Amino acid sequence: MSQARLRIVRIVISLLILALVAFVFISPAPSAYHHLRKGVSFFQFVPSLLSFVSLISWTTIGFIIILLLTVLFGRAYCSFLCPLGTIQDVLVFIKRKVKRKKKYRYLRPLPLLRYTVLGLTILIFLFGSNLLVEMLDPFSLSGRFLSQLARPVFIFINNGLAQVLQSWDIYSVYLVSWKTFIPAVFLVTLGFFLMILLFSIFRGRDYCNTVCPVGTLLGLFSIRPVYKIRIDHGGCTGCRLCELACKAGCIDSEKKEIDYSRCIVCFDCIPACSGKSITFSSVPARENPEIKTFPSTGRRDFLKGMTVLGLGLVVESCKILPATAASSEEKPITPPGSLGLDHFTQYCTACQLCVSRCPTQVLTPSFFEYGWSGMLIPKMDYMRSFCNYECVICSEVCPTGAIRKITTDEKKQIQIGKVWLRKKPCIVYDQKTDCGACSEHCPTKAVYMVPYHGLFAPEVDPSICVGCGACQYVCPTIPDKAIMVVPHAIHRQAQLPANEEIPDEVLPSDEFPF
Amino acid sequence: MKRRDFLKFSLASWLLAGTAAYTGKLFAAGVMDNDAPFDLVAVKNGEPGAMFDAAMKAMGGMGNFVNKGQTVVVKPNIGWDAPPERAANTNPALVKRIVEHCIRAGAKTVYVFDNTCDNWINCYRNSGIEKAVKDAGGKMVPGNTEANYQEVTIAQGKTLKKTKVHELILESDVFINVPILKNHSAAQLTISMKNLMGIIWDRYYWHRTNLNQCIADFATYRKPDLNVVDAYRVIMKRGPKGVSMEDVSMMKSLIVTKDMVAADTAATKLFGKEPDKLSVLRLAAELGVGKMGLEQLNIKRIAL
Repeated sequence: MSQARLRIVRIVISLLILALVAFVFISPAPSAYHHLRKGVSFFQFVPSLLSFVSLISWTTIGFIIILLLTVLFGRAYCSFLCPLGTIQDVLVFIKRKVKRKKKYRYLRPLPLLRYTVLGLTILIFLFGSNLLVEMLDPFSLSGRFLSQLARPVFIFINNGLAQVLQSWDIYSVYLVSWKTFIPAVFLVTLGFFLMILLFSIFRGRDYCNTVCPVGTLLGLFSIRPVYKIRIDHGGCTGCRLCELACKAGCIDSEKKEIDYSRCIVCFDCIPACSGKSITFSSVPARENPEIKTFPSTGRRDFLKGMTVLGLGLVVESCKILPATAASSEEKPITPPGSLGLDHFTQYCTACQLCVSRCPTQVLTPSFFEYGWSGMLIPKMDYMRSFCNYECVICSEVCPTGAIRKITTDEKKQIQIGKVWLRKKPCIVYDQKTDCGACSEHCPTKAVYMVPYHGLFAPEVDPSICVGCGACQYVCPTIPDKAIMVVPHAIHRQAQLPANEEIPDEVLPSDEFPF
Repeated sequence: MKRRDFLKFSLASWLLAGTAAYTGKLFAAGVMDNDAPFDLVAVKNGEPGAMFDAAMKAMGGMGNFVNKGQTVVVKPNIGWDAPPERAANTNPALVKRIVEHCIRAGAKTVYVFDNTCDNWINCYRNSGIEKAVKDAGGKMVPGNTEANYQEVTIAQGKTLKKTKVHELILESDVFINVPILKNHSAAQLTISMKNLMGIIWDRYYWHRTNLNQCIADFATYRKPDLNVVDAYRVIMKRGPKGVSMEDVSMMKSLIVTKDMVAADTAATKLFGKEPDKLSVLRLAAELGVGKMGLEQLNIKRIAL
């Protein structure tokens, strides 16, 4: 096979992966296809690494495989598997259809910036905040682009189609609502998207090579990959076509050198070469003695940066990094399986997959509710919806283990918050008319009705409350709800509703009571 | 006429007659009970489909309610994400049989929907009703979009003057209400009239504005052409969703009537409660929705 075809292979695989990721995020069926998610996020570096840390299981070793592949082949992850990488390629492709081709050129490495971002990301994570992982991780960024920007477009098209079909009496396509639209979250996501757009149009894959912590980390493993892009100095005419084609800006055609910590193995340079002098191969035994490997200062810079940061952080850490779960009463309710605020905010990267997949749309992206270090992390919003008692989809789709996999039976014993009834504004106590919407919707009857002046009025038994929020959502009092769920910073155990006596069978008889 | 032609002819005639008799239209007298017409038919001790067949036979067949080419909307209770055996939703076998009867009677389209409490997709699927309706040739329609609800005026309403009603209720020729009898934490029981809360949009307003009066007021708006009360499996406590199978009792009963108040009065007695204690029944009877005095009605009681 001609090596020029490697590029085609890369394009096909990367588009396939992006299509899968997009499908998982925006497909219409809210409950289907979770199993696809596992395949998709297994080979996503940050989700895999985080779920390894939070779960410690062989099902989460995708990141180790990625590291091994990087040692063997360089940063192929960034060209083949990373959805954000492919999104950038697509953006550039579209841009080139509109406007003439922009030639790339060699970019000087910015080691201090790269390694500082990586170091900060790791250190802040070790101090219990996910802020930088969440903001910069390419999978999570892609997830937010897909759920906040692409999904609305899909809903727009779907709903138009649904209305046309409904006018013909066809109901197989139905209207989809977007209850979880938060303008601030949308704008932040849009801002990041514009940043990525500008980066990709003007500086190729410079986001991947100076900002992305995954790119930088993989760069440390790809300084001397076994297989790599090689320039045959004998055949090279110095025409610079490879450099102009290199979106990573890592080919210095004057020196005929490639910075392998930044090469993303996209193979664009191979067909670009006028003399077929660029190949992808294992390092040959006899290397031209004149060719030095690129003077990599990567590891040294990384260590330097880490030392400086470490010193600073040892002194300042506790002051500048307020614990996420400082005052639990004010913080949002986290979904069942997320154990509580600390675990959830430590491992959630705000990719919004659970938000996209939640059938009731109770999971809503937060803005500052978790504090600045937990921006955009989803929360349970009982003013918009409530959590389905039988549903564990968020725990099944979470790529990082922030929401641990739980069964429906386990979920029924998890109390994520507990019911709090204020009798004063309650319709029955206040207006002396029947209501009972709260008890009606309560799946465990933690809210139950008792006789009250010829009516029935709600009372609560918080011990069997799971904190699903159905009572709060349906409570009709305005402006404030008379019944609410108070969050638990650490989830507790809910008692199962008592097993009561089985009512007597109505024995077959021919009698009617009327 | 040759022998073969004669056989063909008689076979065809028999098929035609059989079909016609089944629809109850042409041969109505042949299948109708002697004491007909009945105001209310109650059936016991059968499977949901068989009990409905028996009830409709006594009622003179679905052809008395659905004419050829008409559109029908069937409104079961599909409020909850629960399997059929938990009896939180109307029995799917019953809904299926009702749709089949409508289609045999010549209905152009049979729509089925509910404005559910739990997520509608889960409710439609897990209740078994979506499959039952599709198998029977009916159409499941989502009830979750406010745009499909139109504001109407309740001329006779005391408290409820206006409310938003699903357009299928406004546009369909025939409206069949198929509640399931259940214990209800707030309303004590939920039967026909309470089931109509699934065809309106703003339940919040009803709940905070004298719920029972709103239910009674709305019952004056469009009385269903037929009410079929499913009391095959009945949630006896912790309703209307029920928490587990321990809440469910087998009652194997069915009530069919045009009168919602009569349906609910009879169902209340079936449940073992005193109809007088349900204020919503009193309020509806006062508004002339129907009769609570079952002794004034011509009732057919069938024990299978």
